[in-house]
Amino acid sequence: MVPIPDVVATKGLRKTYGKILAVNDLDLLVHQGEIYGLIGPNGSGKTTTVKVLCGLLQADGGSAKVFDKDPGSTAVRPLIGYMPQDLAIYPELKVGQNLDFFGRLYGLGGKKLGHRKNALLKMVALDGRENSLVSTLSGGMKHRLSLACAMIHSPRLLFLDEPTVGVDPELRFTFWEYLHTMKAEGVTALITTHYMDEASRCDRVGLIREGHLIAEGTPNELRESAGAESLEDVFLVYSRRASQ
Amino acid sequence: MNRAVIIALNILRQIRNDKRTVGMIVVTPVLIMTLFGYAFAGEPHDLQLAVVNEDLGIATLPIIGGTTPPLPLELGKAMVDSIDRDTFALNTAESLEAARQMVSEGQAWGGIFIPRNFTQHLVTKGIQLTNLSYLSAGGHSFRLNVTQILNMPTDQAYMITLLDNSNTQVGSLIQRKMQEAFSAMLRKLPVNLTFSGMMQTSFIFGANAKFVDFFAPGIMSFVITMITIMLTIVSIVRERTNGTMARIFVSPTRPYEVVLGYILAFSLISVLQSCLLLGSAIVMFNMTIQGNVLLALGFIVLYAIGIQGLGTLLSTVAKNEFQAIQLVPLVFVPFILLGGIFWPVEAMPEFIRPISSLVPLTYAAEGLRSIVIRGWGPVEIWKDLAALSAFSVSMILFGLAVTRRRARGS
Repeated sequence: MVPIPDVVATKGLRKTYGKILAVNDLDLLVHQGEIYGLIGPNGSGKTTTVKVLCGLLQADGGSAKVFDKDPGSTAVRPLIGYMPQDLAIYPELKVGQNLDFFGRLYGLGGKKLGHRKNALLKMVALDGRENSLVSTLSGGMKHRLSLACAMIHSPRLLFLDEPTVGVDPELRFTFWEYLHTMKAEGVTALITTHYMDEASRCDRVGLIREGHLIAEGTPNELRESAGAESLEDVFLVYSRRASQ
Repeated sequence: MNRAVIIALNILRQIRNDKRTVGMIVVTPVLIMTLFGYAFAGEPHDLQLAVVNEDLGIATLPIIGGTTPPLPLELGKAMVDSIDRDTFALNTAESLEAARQMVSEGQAWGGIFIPRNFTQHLVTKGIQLTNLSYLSAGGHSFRLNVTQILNMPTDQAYMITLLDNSNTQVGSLIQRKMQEAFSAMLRKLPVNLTFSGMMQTSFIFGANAKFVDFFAPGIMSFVITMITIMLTIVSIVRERTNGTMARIFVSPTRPYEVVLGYILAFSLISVLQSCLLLGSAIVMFNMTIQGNVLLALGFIVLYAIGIQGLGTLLSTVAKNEFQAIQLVPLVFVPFILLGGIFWPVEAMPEFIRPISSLVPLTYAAEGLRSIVIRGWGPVEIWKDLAALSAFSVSMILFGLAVTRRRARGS
């Protein structure tokens, strides 16, 4: 069996903000083609980890590799897509203009950009709204556009930082459908969330607490090893074990 | 009513917890009052004035019964002595042409030329009008050789005031001060002489300059400062807070491309604004442009680039748009007050002038005024160009360093 390469690999990763230790000795492996969920409560270091992996923050210790290269290096940038916690789209621009802008930053243009834009608009059910101002869209539509902007250049790895925070259950369901569609196209995704129920939709899950990975495995593996039904209980079990 | 108090307290609590806002609330009024007080402190001082005194004076007769030999009477010298030394720093020039050159090269704001037969002409008039035969001046008494004086040939005898009227306030002040000096000199004589036509004005720049001509270039620089700094700080802070900047940094975009993108956008806005400002000044106030309009636009864009870099730098101080907005007056108030827009830099107290020379707006307004009113080209405004280029380049480099730091998250 051919081993599946890791697209993200961290070893002893550490990041501090002054005296606060945000990421503490984090070892993380994300395999190609999987949806990896980094699950943990608020302030557990999920966003900081993603920012380090995207090259937006520099680690204070340990190592981090994305596609076997340093995060933020020229070779890695075109391969990753990033959807930050904030919507990170321009409210004064139209839907299509937002996609055009982010597409052009990745060197897309002409028909290629047009085709990609249309495909994404269809996927996130915003076709027909290309000329709408973002400020006139509903919250759900903005979320979908934000995801489309992260996907415009067909990245091989997606970093999705709390993409479903404040999103209604229906949209969350749709969102996960999009993610699985992308997975089918060969995209790897690292998604952070504090919604434990979302963990069951991931291929593998890493439970993070105080910047440290306390457990890792498929949702079923974690349930079995913790002897708990819900992933919320799983987290609590591992959390207690970590405290002891 | 109770709820109104609760709301008020809530607002005050929020402000109290935002230390930067508290700082700005306290610092801004004191800073602005101090600057206004000093910037509008009084009349200009130490205006450079070229002085050419060719007056030969006249020989006088010995005083009857006096013991000292007669001294020549030199009213030209008396005129120079009457010039207000607080307002002017006198620079002796060799000839009228040399004085003209000093003014036209911007080394002096104005000049005074006293012709060779100045004393003779005045005394002749005095003799003709009042049978003057004896006068005292400068602590000395003089007995006039009336017959000889009346028989001397006369030619041009009026003084010439040379004027750089590119700053109409300075121009008017020089004219007024020269009249005052002449009157003061005449008042020192024991006879009541009043003359008209003794002084002519020769405009080196701004012969028909109106206040708007002086004001408009300053206002242009001011508007560019205000709008550019506001737009830059707010748009960068907004890009940062709404996350789009992070998205840009994750993409293959390099920090210098971000800086360049901002420069391009704000340069275009500056050109548009400058065209509108120039256009409205021309259409509404009949402002005349002596120099090259394209040079004026290029010059203002150079300035706008520097201001944009400054905005990038300041955007690092502001955590949110609220703080960003408050930063704006902290920058542009000192700029407009110390930049010589409303009142010449020479009118400020001496200790504040070095600060004024550190304000880029001083060079922007002065250079623009030189292009618009004096009709100067790039060679003549090289000092302003050099100052603004240095400002813009350093600000771009600082802006780039800040953007690079932010992109790397360090």
